[in-house]
Amino acid sequence: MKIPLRLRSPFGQLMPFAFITIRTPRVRPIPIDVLVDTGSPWIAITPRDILRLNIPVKHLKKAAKHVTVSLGGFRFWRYEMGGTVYVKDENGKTIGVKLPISVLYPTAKKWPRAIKHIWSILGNDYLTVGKFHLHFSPSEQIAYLEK
Amino acid sequence: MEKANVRATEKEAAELLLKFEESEKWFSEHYEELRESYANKMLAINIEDKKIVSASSEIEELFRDLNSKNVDVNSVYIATIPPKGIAFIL
Repeated sequence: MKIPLRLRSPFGQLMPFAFITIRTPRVRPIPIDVLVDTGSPWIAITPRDILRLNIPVKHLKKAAKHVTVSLGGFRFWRYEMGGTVYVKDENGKTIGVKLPISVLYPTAKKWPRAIKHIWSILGNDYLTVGKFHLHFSPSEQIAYLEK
Repeated sequence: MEKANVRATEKEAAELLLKFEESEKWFSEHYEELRESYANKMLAINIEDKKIVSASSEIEELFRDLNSKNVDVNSVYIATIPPKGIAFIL
């Protein structure tokens, strides 16, 4: 089973993105595009998608471990919420993976403007729990998840 | 009955994912020209006709504008165009 990824080059080099939908109570089930980033231990939702999905951060608990996170030069509190992350395979069928989802909320009281340009991330926990292989060949413009 | 509801929800999710993928594809194909006009902005793109419904440098303002125009946030793909000269290494 293959999940095609989208390749984009916002900064001149190709990067793999996936569309996901998160299903959990009180969160809008709108698709968001996330960067597939093996440099991140976790799936992480960043401020622009917190606002977009209307995630009730005040009702979430901070993570028990690694409560502060640095991403894109900014610092965040790491909260966690349970949920199921859906992606679409090459045949249009949705595949759900249930796991804790990190929600990154800026530690700064006044949010720097650029912070809202940072993509949410699909990290290694998603690949591990979902038992996915990541295939990424930028020179051949190929990117997909497979299991 | 419950299984049928789950299937319906999954079908809706798959259809919505497809619409957003199409919007993202349109955005990628027009990225260079959009960057000229909308650097450092966030765009709300209608997932049906790919028209830009709203643009703002602040996402809260974008949502306020969509709300004032009675645009359902589920019907728009939100894309961001980073400021010129800045790249994010995550």
